Amino acid sequence: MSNDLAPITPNSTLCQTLSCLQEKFVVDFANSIDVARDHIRVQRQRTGFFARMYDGFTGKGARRQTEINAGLVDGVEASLKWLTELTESMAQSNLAITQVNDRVSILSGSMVELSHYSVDTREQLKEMAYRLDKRMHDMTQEISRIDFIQKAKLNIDITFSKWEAGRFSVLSPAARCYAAMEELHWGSLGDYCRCLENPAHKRREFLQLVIDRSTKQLAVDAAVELQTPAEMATVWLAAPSISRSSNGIDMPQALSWLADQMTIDSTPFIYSAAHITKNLPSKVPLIAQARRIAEAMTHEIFPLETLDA
Amino acid sequence: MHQLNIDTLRMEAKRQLAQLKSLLEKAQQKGLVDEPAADDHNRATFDTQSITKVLEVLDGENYKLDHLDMVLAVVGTMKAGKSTSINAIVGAEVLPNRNRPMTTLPTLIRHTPGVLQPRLIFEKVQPINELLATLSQAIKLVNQEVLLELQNDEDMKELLIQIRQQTFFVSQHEGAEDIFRFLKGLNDLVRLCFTLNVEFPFDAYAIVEAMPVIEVEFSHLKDTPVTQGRLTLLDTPGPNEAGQQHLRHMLKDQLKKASAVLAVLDYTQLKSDADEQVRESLMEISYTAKDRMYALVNKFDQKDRNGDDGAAVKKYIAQTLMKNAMAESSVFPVSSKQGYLASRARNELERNGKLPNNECWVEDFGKERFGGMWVDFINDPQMVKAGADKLWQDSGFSVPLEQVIFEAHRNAAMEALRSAASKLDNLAKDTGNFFKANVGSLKKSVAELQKNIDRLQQDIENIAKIEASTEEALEGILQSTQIKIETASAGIQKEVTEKIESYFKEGKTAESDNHQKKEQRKGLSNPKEKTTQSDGFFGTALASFLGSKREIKDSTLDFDPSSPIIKFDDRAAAQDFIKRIESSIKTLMDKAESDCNSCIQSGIDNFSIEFDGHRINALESIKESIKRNLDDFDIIVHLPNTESIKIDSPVTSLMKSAIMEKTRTVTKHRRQDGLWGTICGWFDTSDWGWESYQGSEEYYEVDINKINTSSRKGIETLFISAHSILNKDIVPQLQHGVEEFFSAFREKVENVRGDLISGVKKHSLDQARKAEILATSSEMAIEAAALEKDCITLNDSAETLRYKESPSSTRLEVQV
Repeated sequence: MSNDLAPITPNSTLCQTLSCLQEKFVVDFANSIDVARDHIRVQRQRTGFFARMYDGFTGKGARRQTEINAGLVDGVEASLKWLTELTESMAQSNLAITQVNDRVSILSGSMVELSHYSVDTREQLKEMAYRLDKRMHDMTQEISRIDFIQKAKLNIDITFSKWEAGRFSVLSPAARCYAAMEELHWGSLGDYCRCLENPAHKRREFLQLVIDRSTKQLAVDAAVELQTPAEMATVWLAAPSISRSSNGIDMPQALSWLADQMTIDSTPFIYSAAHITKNLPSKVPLIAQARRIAEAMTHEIFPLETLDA
Repeated sequence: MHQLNIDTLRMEAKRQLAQLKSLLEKAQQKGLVDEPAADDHNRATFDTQSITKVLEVLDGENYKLDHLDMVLAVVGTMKAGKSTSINAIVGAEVLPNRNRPMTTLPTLIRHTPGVLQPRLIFEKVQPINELLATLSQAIKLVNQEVLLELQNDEDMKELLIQIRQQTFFVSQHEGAEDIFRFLKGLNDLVRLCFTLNVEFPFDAYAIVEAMPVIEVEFSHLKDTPVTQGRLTLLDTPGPNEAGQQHLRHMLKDQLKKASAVLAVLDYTQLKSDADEQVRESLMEISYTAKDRMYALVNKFDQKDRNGDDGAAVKKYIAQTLMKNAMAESSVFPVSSKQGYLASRARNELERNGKLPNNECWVEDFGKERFGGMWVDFINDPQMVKAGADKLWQDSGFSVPLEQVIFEAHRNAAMEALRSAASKLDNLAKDTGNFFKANVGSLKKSVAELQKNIDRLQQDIENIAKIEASTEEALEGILQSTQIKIETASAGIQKEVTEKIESYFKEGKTAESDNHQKKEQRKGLSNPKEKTTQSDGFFGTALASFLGSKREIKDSTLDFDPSSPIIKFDDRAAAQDFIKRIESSIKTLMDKAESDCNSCIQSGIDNFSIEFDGHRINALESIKESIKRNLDDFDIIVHLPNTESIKIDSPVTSLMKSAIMEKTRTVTKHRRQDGLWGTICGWFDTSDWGWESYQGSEEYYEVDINKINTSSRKGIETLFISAHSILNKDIVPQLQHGVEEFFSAFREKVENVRGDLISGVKKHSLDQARKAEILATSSEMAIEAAALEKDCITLNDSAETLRYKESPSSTRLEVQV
């Protein structure tokens, strides 16, 4: 079904609303480069949404038709070029860059054992590794500077004003909360909180702010009072009847893709908010107050251990 | 608004139980749970022994949530048709409908799918079998006359043979006839006990588990899924039936716990006193069970053209008889007989396709439905089916049955939910503490831990001190309340004496006037002639206290101003005089009663405030100390309960029953309207001060001394009752509350200490193992913390839902 839908371009409303999509895209793109088989894995069943982004971001609008006959055509060489470009232009977060960097290291390692890659390609990869390393270094410096706090704050403000302005309104209240979390996770706040050099109390403070603002917005969205528990299934996870607009279908799909690494056991709240499941995960209560959801989601994205470490 | 429903809460409770269970089992598997400490006071929150019990509790709660136990208590007199109503609900004859009380002991009738032939199970036969031996001795001592009389009674004859042969009662009885024989035997046994003055072992049957159970499939429920719960009817002995006095407290308790209460009243006797005691017992429980009480107004089919219609009956019962303690919509005019016959016929048809040939109920059914021509129709299954359906409809039974069962189900679900939620709440907190202590103690050095352990010991000692001072406060309040009651008692005694005194003077003045007039008249006319007159002067004199002009007859007796006897010539005058005294005293006593109530109530209130203060004090001091001692532990010792101790019945109702109990021992007269009816009831009795003499002339005497004695007795009863509820009901409940609170609190702190002690032991493990335990505990601590929050939410939601659903009633109970 998903492949029948239009490609998703960087300047689509969806990407404007969820700026984390492009960060995640770059990482996934990097992870899908298969050096051994000299192609990039874009499989429609597994990552339908990724395929749509791939088409939109790489300009391969007509990909759908050709791909059917040609199979997967994108070679490693071309892909690496794209990756370099994408990383430069789209990956803003330390999180994305770190992950791309990790992937590039692996690729470099694998490529050593393979003879069929040109010197150029090898050089290209080396160059990329170098640039990534430099960026990471610079960013780490930046993140631990005092003025980065402003960026983190801005990240929070922008995210919550999007939520408050109804830009996630095609989603269920819990999924809106998750969307906000991903924006923060891939945003400056995430970078700030993951940086262990930053003071733990400040990071806790930020997360508390996130919990509080999410709690309030969740309650407002569901029209439930703060202290009143409501049913998970019929209130917190109830999506508004899907609008005919592409956003109404795309955004839940995007969310589900964002959560593709989440497991039912370690991140049950996110799992249930991002994926359609028949039964709630056993760790998710059937009734909850807004705060409970906000807390659980915040800590699933920003585990307590990372704060205490 | 989003309304939480009970089924969601039930599912959530089940989820939490499963989560908690898996957490605890995991802790067990990972070796986080130690063997129990040698010293009881050093026991950790969980050890290998206690965790097994906790897991059993969780399983038990889960079972209860799955198998709701609905108890529908049926109250009413034998004459009102209680047995027939029960048979109508069951759809078979399980209780013999004979013209005498059959329920000696409360009996349970339990819906058991698949059991078509009723069977009675009475596990606890031993006490009555032992009784047979005792009776056999007692019979030898009884005089021949009594024995002969007993032997003339057919039923007793049978029993006597049984006793002689020492044929024991058995535990199981199959089929209606057998059940009937057993219940009859039991009933005869109790009667015989009364005749021979042998005590029946009622005490042995004061718990539900000991009661006889009749198992049978209720035809109306046979298609209900098991998850809907198990319905059990509790057939209670009527107010006047044997054994009732002995089991009264237990029954009250059962009614309170019952998922719903169904009262069977007699339409034809509504305005008489026959059902009064049933209504009284309903009133007594109404404050706890208002939302769960239903009334069947039986024999409504006997209504004649002039009788009240259904709506009027509903209104009359709800508003007038039950004084709004029951909703109109909970009153159902029915015909139990029709209901029983219809439901049995339908049941029979469904099972066998036709009605049996020679059973008398079939004739009853036929006549009820088809009249004199019934024989023509009875063998036509279609006619019978249509007839039974129509009769069922006419009986008015289906609506109440549905509603009461629905209500019972909801209440049972609520009870199961509340029980599970409150246990979960506590256990999840314990679990949270347990893991936190595990994490904390591994992060700390042995020396630090030891220091904390010692300090916690001090906390435990502090708790004991606070407990002692709370008990002292309770003692103080008890004493001051007693003094207040005594002062009030003396005050009322004085007032009553003065009142009677003033009436006495009034009465004497009138008597003396009357006497003087008569003396004067004697001088004027023939002294031996009896005159009947309506003298204005005499009339006026008497009217001063009688309030009306009355005809006075001459008295031939002399006037004695010091005699306590006031003489009246007129019966009406004497009665009026008495009535006035009566009403004055009644007013005084009503006031005295309400004074007593408020004395006790304010005692309770004072204590509650005091107790709350002590508890907060205890918690604060411990909290401070725990914070100081257990820094970085993140353990919160919760107050076992923050609610105040509540008395399980309002004081007024306690007073009422205490007085009733006391007065029952002194008078056999039934209570009149209002509390002091009992005592004032004596005014109507011959021992209460007035009698007539018939001689050549009629005159009436009122003995003021007797009035005085009676009043004194009444006041005494009132104050004895007040002291007795204070000492026997109120104080034990408060003491119990205090004790429970502090022991729970102490145990919590002791457990934290135990956790640390076992933490010290863990330090002796090797590094790798320690790291592993720390990692597991940390992870589980997070899970437990999340579960803790969910448990609190569930518990709160359950309470909110319960409150919302029954805003009209507040169930008070001792909660600690």
